[in-house]
Amino acid sequence: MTADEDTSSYWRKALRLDEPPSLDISKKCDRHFKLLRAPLRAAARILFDRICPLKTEGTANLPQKAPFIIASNHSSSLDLPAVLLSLPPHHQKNICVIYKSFFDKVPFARMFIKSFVPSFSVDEKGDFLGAMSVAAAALKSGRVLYIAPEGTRSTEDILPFKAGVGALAVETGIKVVPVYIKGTNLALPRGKFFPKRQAIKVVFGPPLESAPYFNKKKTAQAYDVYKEFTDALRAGVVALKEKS
Amino acid sequence: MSIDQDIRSIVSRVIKVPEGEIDPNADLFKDLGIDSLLGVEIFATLDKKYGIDLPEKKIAKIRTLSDVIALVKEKAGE
Repeated sequence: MTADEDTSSYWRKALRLDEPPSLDISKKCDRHFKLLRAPLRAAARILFDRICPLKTEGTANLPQKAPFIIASNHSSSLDLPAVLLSLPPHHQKNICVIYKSFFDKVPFARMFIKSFVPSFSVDEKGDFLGAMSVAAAALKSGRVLYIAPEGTRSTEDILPFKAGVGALAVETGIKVVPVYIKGTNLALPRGKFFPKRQAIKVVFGPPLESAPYFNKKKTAQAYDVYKEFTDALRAGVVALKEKS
Repeated sequence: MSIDQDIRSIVSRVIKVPEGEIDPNADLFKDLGIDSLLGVEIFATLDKKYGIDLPEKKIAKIRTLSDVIALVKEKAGE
């Protein structure tokens, strides 16, 4: 790929990076079942206090100001509430989550996710660019964007990360905070509906800057650069796992 | 080089599969294993090369190399 074939202008257009922040983002992510949000979060807090004590490390690594992306491993349905409740209150208020469109078809799952947190779904095989542009709009609106780049729940090893997070970070120039979540797979494994007693730890790592990767696109194929960033992000999560 | 050959060459280079191994009617995603992001990369390169605006909704429906060629020809002919 040569500099002449650099695809940045296409991405800027597709992600609408040169347009004013979208006013639709709050309609897209916030308005659903908002009345249930406070009671659901209170219930989650009680669950963590009484059954799954939650310990948080590395909050000093979180940027003071949004926008930024947080990306974690994913092994349980408890991951989202664990990460959310580990964030400082000002970031909790400002979060936006990407979830798999599969849950839009599962009874109550969509309602639960959207009640709990401002969110939107991504269909990898469908309107992928559309979802990416919503993610970019959320970042432009000053949100904290939470992504689980494995794309599904893993059982033991952390799965390869999907490179969409790399494309989003590199093209928007936004930094990404790697997060390792420990214990949720034991507290609430796949297929179980009731959590069991298990300590949970959420560790925030140092943010990965995406700007240096943008320049690499001048000499390498953009896709390879996104993959390189995504692999570095996964390595950051794996390093947190090894220390925990 | 015809537009068909040109597009085949671009797709081959982006997805790193030799031109001769790309069946024009094979599903790019299922048979050649490319992901959505690599699909975007193909259209970004074609967009740059031909100076055409490929609509996102039509891109989402594309599955084969023949579909890609047909869409580029349609937009280039407008």
